[in-house]
Amino acid sequence: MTLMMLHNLLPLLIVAFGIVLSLLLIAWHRSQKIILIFTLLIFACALLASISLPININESVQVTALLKVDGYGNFAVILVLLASMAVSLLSSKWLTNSLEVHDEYFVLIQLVVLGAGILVMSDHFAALFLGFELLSIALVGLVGYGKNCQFSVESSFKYLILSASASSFMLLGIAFIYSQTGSLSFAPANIDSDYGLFYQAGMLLFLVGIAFKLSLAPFHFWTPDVYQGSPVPITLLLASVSKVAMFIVLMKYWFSQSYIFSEHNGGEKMLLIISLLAITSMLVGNALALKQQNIKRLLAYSSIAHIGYLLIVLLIVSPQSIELAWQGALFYLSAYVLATISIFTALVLTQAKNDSAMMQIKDWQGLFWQHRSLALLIIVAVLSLAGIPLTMGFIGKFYLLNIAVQAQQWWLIGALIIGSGIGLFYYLNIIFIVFHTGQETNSNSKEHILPLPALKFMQKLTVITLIFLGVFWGVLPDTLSELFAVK
Amino acid sequence: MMMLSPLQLMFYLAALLAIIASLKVISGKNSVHSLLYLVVSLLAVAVCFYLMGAPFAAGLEVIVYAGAILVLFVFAIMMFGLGQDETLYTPKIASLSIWIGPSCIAIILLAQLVFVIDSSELQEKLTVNIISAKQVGALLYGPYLLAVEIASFLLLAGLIAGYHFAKPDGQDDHLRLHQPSNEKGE
Repeated sequence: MTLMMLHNLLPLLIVAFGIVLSLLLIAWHRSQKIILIFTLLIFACALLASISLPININESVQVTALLKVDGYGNFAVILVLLASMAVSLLSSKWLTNSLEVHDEYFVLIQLVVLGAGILVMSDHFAALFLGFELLSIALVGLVGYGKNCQFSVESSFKYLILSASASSFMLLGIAFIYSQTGSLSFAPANIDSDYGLFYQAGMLLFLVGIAFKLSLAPFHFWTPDVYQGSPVPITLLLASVSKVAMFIVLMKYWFSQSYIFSEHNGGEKMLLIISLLAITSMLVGNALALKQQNIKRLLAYSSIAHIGYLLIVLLIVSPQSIELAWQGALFYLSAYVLATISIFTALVLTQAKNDSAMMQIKDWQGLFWQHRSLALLIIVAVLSLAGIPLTMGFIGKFYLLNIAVQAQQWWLIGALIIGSGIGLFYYLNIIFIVFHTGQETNSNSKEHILPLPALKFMQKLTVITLIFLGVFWGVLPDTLSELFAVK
Repeated sequence: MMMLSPLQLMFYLAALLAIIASLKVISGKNSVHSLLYLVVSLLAVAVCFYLMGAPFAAGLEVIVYAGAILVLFVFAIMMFGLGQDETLYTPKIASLSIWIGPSCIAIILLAQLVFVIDSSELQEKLTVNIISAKQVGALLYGPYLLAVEIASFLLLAGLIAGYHFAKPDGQDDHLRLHQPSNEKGE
């Protein structure tokens, strides 16, 4: 451990140190406000540390055998930290509904962030597995956090058992890979040698483990139930932090296996499997979202489709396009995370009833005529998710199309277009409902239009900032994309 | 077909026993029976480790899993398993059949172990490159130091999540009793 390694690891070290300090803080004084501010402070310090890292986007620093800090991973850490700051802020509103002091909640959020940070920086299967488990275990605690809420125990047990089985599949896969390559590091020692069937089986099992966490199509069954059953801020955590971390680590592993560009070891088969996963996720996710009335279930299905689109970046055929793939993926992920944060902020602020599992789309009926800013936030976020021009989502999709055309994956382009077309239906439906005044509907819709309390100054400021960011980066995407462009 | 050396034969036999015992764990209806098979399965895995020339891992397997964690399991089952749904499937009389299966497997494993230890030829093969506890420790506190640290955070996460789920529900009511005016929602 040299000083430079420690410096590069600083964001993670700050978060880890913050966890220990939070435990001391809880022992000293239990107060929800203090622990919330402390958590935000820790995340802000880590954010500063990772922004100020003197690291170029395309160079990397190996920190022991386990971790490798590079610009892409560092950008992902920034994304993770921003999303978890949003989660902490939103949690404060949700947690005031009950009387207890919820300080372990914030410690668990910090542990999730630490796990995600380790995942995006890992360069070794041991670090990957430990980060994966840290993320999962802390999330299990958070998913079932509201013990008295409906579905919370069900969803947390579903998540616990399925993520345990996913990690056992992944471990078996890692063991197979290790038995052939003799190294747990991501970059194989000897690329050209023929590793045989066990290596491919290992890769497949490893992919299954990751696909469970990313909820790709054949492994997506837990997603809607868990999304619905967990508290709203935790759903945001699942949808943003966990997805970003898992996808970045998948990309890191995938691009370090340069065999996918060669004839050896069945690289073609792997590409075929990935494209099948992508196509089924796009179609299944969008098709199942069509009839959803519950907002959280709809977002769950739409996230399946979005990760399906994103898988396109893995299907490049030449090492030259790795940089473009990274840029596309990071831009798409930023767009996705910003849109998800916006829509969940709106969800928390409009949540009149205590029971978050039951939020229906029609609860947003006529929101535009009550709260202009909230409705605008929803509209910008939904348009960005749908990929309408002048939003970030459109630029992200454009990157993906560009990559797919370069790789000549026509089937995937077809599925992307069909999927986006189906997606427009339910995304635009949300916007119609937001504008709908509900005059012609019968009287029982009256109870849905509860007068919402006016927004506080801070809430209003957050909403306006989110709208501004969504529009700004949609119109001027260069300001964001040059952050991770190779200089 | 290639011929297996005696050591390989022993290894595959132990591995087969581990698989059989694990299948019995998940197919049994009685939790205590499953637990017995689980112990045997872990012991078989320990023998596998030993036959691969890793006596340290074998020792850890026995001490940590078969020893400590299984004791925790027994405690948990004894505390929770007293309901009607658990006792429904228990055999009426504590006959031989409860322990005859696990003990058969355990005896075969013991015979294997005795045979391997007794045979000087096999011992010679096994002791060529033994990974000692010291080497493992040096690796854990050298290049893999961060892994140890991350693992400690993993345990912390498990502890906090487990604490939250096990926390009695009554705590809320207790607070509410003192500050009834604060009640919102619900």
